[in-house]
Amino acid sequence: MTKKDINLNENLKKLASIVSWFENQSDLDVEKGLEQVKIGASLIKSSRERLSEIENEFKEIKKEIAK
Amino acid sequence: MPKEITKEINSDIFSVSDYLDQLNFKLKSDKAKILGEVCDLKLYDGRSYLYFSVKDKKDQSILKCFMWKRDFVISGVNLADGMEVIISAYPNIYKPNGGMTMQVESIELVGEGALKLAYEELKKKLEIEGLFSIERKREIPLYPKRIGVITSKSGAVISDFLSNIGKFGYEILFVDSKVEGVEAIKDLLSAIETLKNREIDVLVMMRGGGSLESFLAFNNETLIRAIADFPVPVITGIGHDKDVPLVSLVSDSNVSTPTAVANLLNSSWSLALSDIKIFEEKIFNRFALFLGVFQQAEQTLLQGLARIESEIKNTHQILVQKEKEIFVSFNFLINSANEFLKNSFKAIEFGDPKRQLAKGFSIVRSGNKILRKVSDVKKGNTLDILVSDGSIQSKVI
Repeated sequence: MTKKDINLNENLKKLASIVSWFENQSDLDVEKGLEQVKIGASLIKSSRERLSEIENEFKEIKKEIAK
Repeated sequence: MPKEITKEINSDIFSVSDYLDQLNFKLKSDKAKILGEVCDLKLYDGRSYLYFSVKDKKDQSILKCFMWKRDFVISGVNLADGMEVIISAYPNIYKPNGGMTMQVESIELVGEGALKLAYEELKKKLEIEGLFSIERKREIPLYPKRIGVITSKSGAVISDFLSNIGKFGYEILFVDSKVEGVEAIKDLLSAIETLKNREIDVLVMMRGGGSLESFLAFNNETLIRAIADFPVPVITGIGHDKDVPLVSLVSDSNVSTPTAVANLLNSSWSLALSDIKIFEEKIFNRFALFLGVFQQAEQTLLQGLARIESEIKNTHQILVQKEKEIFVSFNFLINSANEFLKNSFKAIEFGDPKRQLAKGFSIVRSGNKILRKVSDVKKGNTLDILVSDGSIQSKVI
């Protein structure tokens, strides 16, 4: 998946769902927890990259507008 | 006779023909306007000339006249015996018979009454022909550039015209012409001929006001027809008191002063200039409006940028927050699991029977069954007593 294919909003929703899973967890399912942490870490990494990309594009646009 | 004298005498001797040529040449400068009554008119149909005589009313003196038909036609006078006219002519000796005739260049009518009559007759004739009809009038072209002007170079007319013609890049082709009296006819016709083959958008013919007599040329049939047949529209600006010159009636547009002619020519340009000013104003207003819309859009865009910027910061924070939450939650899960394990271990450890054995408790089995009540054994049963460091075999007695 390329960076541009990553949908930041979707990622944020997935992260919220992982957080929610942890919050609602009554059973001590560490295995499942680890799996969720792995997914969460991957989502956070790809989201940060995409966000950085968006930020750079945004800075370029701002520069163009200021010209 | 000495040779030199003979030569001198010989130089004074002319042949009849040479003498007449010399005489006629000199007589040509004796051109005059002569008033007289027409008599003995011979029009000679089909010939290129005509003869008539003019007679002095007082003493009946006679002058014989010769005239070319083309000049006669140009004069526009419907000649008849008994008519009082003024001829413009010079004397000429006709070589074949030695008789003197007046070479007539033009004829004009005498007296307001005759002029008025001729004017009315010609007007009626041309009206019947439809020469003055509205349908024949051509539109004065919009935005004329090349203007042919016929008038006299001296006098106020051309000066008034030039001071009132606008600065619209006109190209004026001016042809000077006499505008007064019968002599003007040939001049005006020649000016028309000159401009006929030039590329012009409109022809202007002007002169100042005057009496019916001074307008002779502008009531001349040949001139009127030349104006009617002119290839581009004609504007006349000929001042008059009562009777409108017939040239003015036949022209495509007629005004009475050179200033009015200039204004007429300027009108489409002035209107265009005024339209341009209005359009310019409209364009600037619209542009200002558009600029306002654009500025509004720019403002909105800048606000949008600020929102995006804030959203990016917010997303950063959300990611940090989510990361924190997930790891904290997972740590909590791990800690909980550890705690659970610890507690479980404790519970298991606490419940371990071996731990009780160390305190002095023991487990008694009979067979493979742990004894809990006295009734679980009978006399003689073998008991296996488990203590902390081993087991003791005993028997129920």
